[in-house]
Amino acid sequence: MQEIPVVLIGHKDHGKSTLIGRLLLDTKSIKESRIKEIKEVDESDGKQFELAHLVDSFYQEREREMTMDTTRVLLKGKKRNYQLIDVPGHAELISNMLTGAAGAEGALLVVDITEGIKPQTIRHLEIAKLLGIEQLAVVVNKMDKIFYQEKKFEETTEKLREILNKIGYSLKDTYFFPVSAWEGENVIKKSKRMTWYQGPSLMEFLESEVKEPVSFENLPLRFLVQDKYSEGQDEILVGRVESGILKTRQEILFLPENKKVRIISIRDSEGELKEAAAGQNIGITLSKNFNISRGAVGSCLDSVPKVSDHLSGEIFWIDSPSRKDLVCECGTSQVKGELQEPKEIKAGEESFYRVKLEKPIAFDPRNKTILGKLVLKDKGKIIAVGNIL
Amino acid sequence: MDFHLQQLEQKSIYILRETKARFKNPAMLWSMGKDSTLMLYLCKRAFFGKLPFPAIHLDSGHDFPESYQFRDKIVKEWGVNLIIGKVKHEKDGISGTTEGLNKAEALRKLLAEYKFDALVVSIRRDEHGIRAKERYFSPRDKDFHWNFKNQPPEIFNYISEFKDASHVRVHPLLHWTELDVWEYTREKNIPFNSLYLAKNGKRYRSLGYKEVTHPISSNADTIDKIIEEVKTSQIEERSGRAMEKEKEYVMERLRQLGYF
Repeated sequence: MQEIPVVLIGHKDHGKSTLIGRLLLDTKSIKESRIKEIKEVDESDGKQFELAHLVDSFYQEREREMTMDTTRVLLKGKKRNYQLIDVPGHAELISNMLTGAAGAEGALLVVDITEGIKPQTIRHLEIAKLLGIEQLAVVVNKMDKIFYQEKKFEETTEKLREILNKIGYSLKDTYFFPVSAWEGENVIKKSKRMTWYQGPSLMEFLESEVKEPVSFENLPLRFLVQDKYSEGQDEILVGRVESGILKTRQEILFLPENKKVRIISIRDSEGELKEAAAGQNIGITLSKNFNISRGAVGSCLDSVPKVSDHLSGEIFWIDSPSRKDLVCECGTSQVKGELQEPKEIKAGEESFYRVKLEKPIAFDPRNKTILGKLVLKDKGKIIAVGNIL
Repeated sequence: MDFHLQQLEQKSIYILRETKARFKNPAMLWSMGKDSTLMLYLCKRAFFGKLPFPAIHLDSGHDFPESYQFRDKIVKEWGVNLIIGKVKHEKDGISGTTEGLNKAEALRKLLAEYKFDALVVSIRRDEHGIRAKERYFSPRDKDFHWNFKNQPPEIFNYISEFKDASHVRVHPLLHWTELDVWEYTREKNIPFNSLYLAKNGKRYRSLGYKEVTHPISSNADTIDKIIEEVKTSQIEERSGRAMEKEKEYVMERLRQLGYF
């Protein structure tokens, strides 16, 4: 069954893990024996069983009542399944948040109504936007603590609307849910305690409103070269069709090498294929043996990626770099580069960036595929993730 | 093939090819169970029928006879380069924890001897809460410890280099579930250990050493029946494995110390 990855974002203690626990429990997505075991562990630790313990599995996470690292669990729906991604809400654990959020199709922003908008509420929203997560909904949690009052809910959503607007999320399409994850109100079924709320429950929304990931099949052809294997006399270029459809006998252009070449065969372990679509990992043989290797991008002839040794865009800094010489990774290419902007970097913040690369690479600016996204590495360690504009 | 299974498969193939591209000397662990046998099959898919990495069997001599038979059959038919890592066997009974620690110790010796820099391991998120916290590429330090409090970021397809690691654990099946594994095994007709099939009302759902692995009550004597059973079961897959209990965080401690 199809699985849609959905990340829960928001400030610490606003109830992300508890909401996941509630969803898992009330949809019976988690096996009874697992729940029983976790309850037994809590008892032997002298702790109260908490819904968050269904995802916070480390001893220290339960001891300190916080999520430290990201995790993914399967939520079973009626029509389809969801991969719920839990992330930590602490500023210092932001790299674990990024690991979880990257690649999610949708995001649920969880906000504690008694606390309202906090620093990580905003930061997580900015990151979701930067990572290209377009589908967003807001869960206003802990409604039980304010006795399910409509007025307070309206006040909070008003403030949230301002923030969303500022970050660039469309207000027209955004749902706001009054929820108590703890009590299970408005999570699976519509709440009887909030009759003033007319919209769907959170689960009803997931089942009916969240769109499935859009296939990159209809975009122009991009073939990411990952490696080169030899097979008898043949040299097989292996990689993933990132977007579009690749066909045998098709003429394609490899960039940044700028070599036009015809595809002789497309192969996988089961034999020869006539074509391969976005998402498929294949091998190809070419009419001529060029020196094409990892990092190259094969493209259709009519719509080609940009080739340049200058990249710029928006970037989130996990750490500040120790020097100007960094390594830039985009698609499968990895090239040294010098950071020209910004001059001052603060870890945990977003900024505009400009890098000058040692040699040009192929990329697609403002693009949802991997060729529109990059990371910067300092001494081999990822220190920033961004988009290319 | 079902689109979902195809997506799982393709993601794993990409990771396996990344492993070959990024590391000099990878190996994989093979327990002859359904997951690591499926992994062997995926390696054949990724590398055009060849197996570029050796497969390691951590062996105390106390696996089930059916497992050894299955191993030797697959080695022969698929041309597996098999390395056997001898695991110390405790004479006076064995607990799940000792099984785990002895395996980790055997692995340590083997990695030192062969200088493997990456180890492909067939764990899945849905098996255990602690395994759900893993990355696809997960470094282990010089003492083989898993520094789970400070895991490197893994963003889109991008991973860090692991300069201080003794080796990196690679987990291409992290995103599969038990049900996915069986459905793919059926789809591709991948051979599996006969112990998974019910005999006289019992079958094994997960395989370890015979002393610490218990069968479950089941009448699933075909793969179709196994799939139906897995779909509806309210019991954990590894409930028959002594070491896999949530209790006292055995898994967390074992994994920190080098178990998989």
